[in-house]
Amino acid sequence: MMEYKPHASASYAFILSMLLFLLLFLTVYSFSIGRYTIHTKEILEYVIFGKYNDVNLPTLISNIRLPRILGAILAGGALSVSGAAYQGLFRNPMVSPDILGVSSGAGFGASLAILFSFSMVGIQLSAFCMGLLSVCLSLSICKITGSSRNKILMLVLSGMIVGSTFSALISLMKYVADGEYKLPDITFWLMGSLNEITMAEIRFILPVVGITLIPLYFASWKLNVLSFGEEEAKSLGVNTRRLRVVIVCCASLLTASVICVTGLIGWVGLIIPHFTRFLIGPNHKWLMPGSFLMGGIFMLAVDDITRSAFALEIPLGIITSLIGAPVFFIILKISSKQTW
Amino acid sequence: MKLEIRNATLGYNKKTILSKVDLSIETGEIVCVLGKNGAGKTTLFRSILGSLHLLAGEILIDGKRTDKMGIRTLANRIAYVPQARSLPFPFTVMDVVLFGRTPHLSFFSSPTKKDRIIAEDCLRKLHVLYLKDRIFTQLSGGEQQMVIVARALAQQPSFIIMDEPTSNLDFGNQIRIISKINELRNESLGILMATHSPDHAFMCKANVAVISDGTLSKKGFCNQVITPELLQNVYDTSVSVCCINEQSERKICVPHMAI
Repeated sequence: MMEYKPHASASYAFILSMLLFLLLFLTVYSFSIGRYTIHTKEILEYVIFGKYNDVNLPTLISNIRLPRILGAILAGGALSVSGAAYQGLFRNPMVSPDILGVSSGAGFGASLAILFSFSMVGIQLSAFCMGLLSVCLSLSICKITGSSRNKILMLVLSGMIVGSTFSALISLMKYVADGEYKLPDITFWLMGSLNEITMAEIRFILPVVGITLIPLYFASWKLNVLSFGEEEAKSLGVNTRRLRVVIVCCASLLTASVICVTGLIGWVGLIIPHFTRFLIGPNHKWLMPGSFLMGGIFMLAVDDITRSAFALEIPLGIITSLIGAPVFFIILKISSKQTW
Repeated sequence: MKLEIRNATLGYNKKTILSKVDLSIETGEIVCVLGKNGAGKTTLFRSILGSLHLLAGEILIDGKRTDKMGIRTLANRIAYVPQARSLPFPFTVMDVVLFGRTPHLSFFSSPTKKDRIIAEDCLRKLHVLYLKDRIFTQLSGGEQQMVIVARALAQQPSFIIMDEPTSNLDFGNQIRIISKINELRNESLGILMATHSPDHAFMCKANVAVISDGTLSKKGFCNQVITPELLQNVYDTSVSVCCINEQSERKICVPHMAI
């Protein structure tokens, strides 16, 4: 039987720096991957000394590969942190960021915008707003039903109501969409992709992610205490209502800002926090940054595979699930032997 | 310090569970609350902890109303050892005890080295320091209970409220927990505990408060308050209360069995 060994904080810091190093390494390597081959040496020469022989190199690096790589890291990291935060809030390691209906809401927003032939920006804006709207709806349903004892259970159920409603609406959009152009567009959006991401979109995601990560990190100790349940956390001096507001707002903003650009990417928000907890334990102070790095590494690796392994570029959402499912199985197999 | 409940009505959504509740506990005192299942012990505790609003009356600590205190200030005064618990994540014992330091931290900060030393002291006081690095969820029920008591001590409160601290424990662990609670008695700590066995009150030489018929009645030293008539009244069971031998003041409850 594998014994879980708690590490001292020095070794947590070591694991985190290893993850950071791995992410940096993978980032540099990812620039060399793609249809148009560039050698890693050429990239380093260009980045460090500004020297290049190939005239296409600067455009390729800064306009095509850079946004895609940044997009992958931000998307993977943001979804994972949001997943970790929701899992902590709901005290359940099986919760994913769509628990309050963000994804179905955003999916509906995007399908609606595609159906009405909105521009790219219009689609993203619609997805973002609908994603946040669905969270607000979940929260208001929870408030209206108003059980004073089990807020968390009511939140989950409200999320299910909203989520399934929006899923039905997505199906409706698909049903009425014209099969030639719009249906494939909607389907493709729902599968998620980093294909068309540009620097302009990165400039939108980056500040949102940056700003929401800060309160999440600082609330991490309170999130630990919440593991014992709301009433006990209160008796330990945690203002649970304020904590819930902070977590729900930040985690929803994180998820919505990412998926409105990338489309729906499943599994990352569920398995990465799980895997990270397995690696560095349940303390959110380490789990949050760890999840961000792990998520970035995972998404970047998956995107590298989609870009290089197949002749036809397979949508990201498919690969994350295809890789995510067996990885999740293996983690469950190992971790069921030890703790929960 | 003094924790007082004055003429309070307790209940959920306007439905009264207990009325005309008057109770006061001072630091240095152990008060056992007796009452049958569903009589309202947990309601009483939830009200004191502020997670249930009073329907009438007031609860005061040293003359200050607890509902006017913030969540953090209240957690600095009163710690809670609940009955059942579930922990979804594999935290270590040290982490769990450190949770008790939360009311001493500001909203956005984590425990420091000083908090760790306090947490270790609390574990040492209960003779369970060796559990420090173990995973809480892997401990036995008795060990978990000790750790939760250590967490309550780490809050450095003036009062600890315990909701049947011996429930789900085997006979030996019940005795161990009760004698630890006895050891914790000192000038600066008051303990209010619900118990399912009147014998526990005798073991702690505690004062007793009885919940029956929708109110909190009778308060006084266990040897005077716990009588066969009272037990018959509260639990609907006929019981003798005897001294364990002629020299001793220690009493014990012996239920009469219908054979």
